Amino acid sequence: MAEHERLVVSIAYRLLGRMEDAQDAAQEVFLRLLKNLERIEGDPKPWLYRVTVNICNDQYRRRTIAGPPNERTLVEVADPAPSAERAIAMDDRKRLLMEGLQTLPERERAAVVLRDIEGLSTREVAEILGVEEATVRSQISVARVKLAKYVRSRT
Amino acid sequence: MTCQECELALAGEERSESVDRHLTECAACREFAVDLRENCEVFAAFGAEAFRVERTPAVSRPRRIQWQRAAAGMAIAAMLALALGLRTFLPRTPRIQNVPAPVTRVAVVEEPSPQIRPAVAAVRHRAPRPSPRRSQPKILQIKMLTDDPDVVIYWQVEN
Repeated sequence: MAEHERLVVSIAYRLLGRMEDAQDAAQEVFLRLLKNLERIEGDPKPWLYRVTVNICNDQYRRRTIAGPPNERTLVEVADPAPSAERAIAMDDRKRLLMEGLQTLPERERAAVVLRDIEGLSTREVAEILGVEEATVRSQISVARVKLAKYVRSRT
Repeated sequence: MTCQECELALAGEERSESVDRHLTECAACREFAVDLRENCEVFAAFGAEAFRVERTPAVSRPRRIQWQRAAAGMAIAAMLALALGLRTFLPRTPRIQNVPAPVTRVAVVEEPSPQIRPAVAAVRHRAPRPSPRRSQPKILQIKMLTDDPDVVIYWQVEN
């Protein structure tokens, strides 16, 4: 359960950009999981991915973005030997990418989060989002270009 | 190949001869390719990040529901407070108390008034009894004064 909890919170955080909202979304996901526990057979991960993306999209539509994501709640995985400059540059890029993610349309954002951050295959992402693989590939390409331009315009 | 086509191809991880040829000619697209690679590294680092989850989602209810309940409670409390305030500050209709005013003084005042006697006599005159005429009864009237000047109690005692 704790593993699923981390998974849901991390996806929700990437999609929503704020830890408070991510935890709210995670609560809703797990309430739905409890209600539908008997219907889910086998590994609940695909179901969790799908419901998390849907709930986050709903929540994203309901609220307006109010400030940058709260990075204090993250626990960074130690870089083996990061130089100070590189660490700062990475932090800046992380912050800008998080901001950039929030500027993407919800389908592109979900595709990038699931494919590039969660490391799912294109087919898995397509199944979760309920679209064709070609559509996912196109959404990811466009989103990556937009993100790269967003970061470049602010550095 | 245009720069826009090259960017999309790079972002889609599609490498072809035309893309490579464009990259050798275009410095901007080479920089773009570096940016894309660095973004991918950051995304990979995102995936490796761990989250502290302090709350147990399945136990606590969503904050929205808690707020709705709190708002409902506050609304009920406000209505009660308003009702109490209205009850306290609005002018009350005077009530008539059922408790009799306490008697403070008792005094024998006077003989009955002359209006009473003829009335009794008239009634008796209308329905004469066959029995021999009795003597006129003597009525003693007692006036009781109370604390309230508007309340006076009269007792009439027939001898």
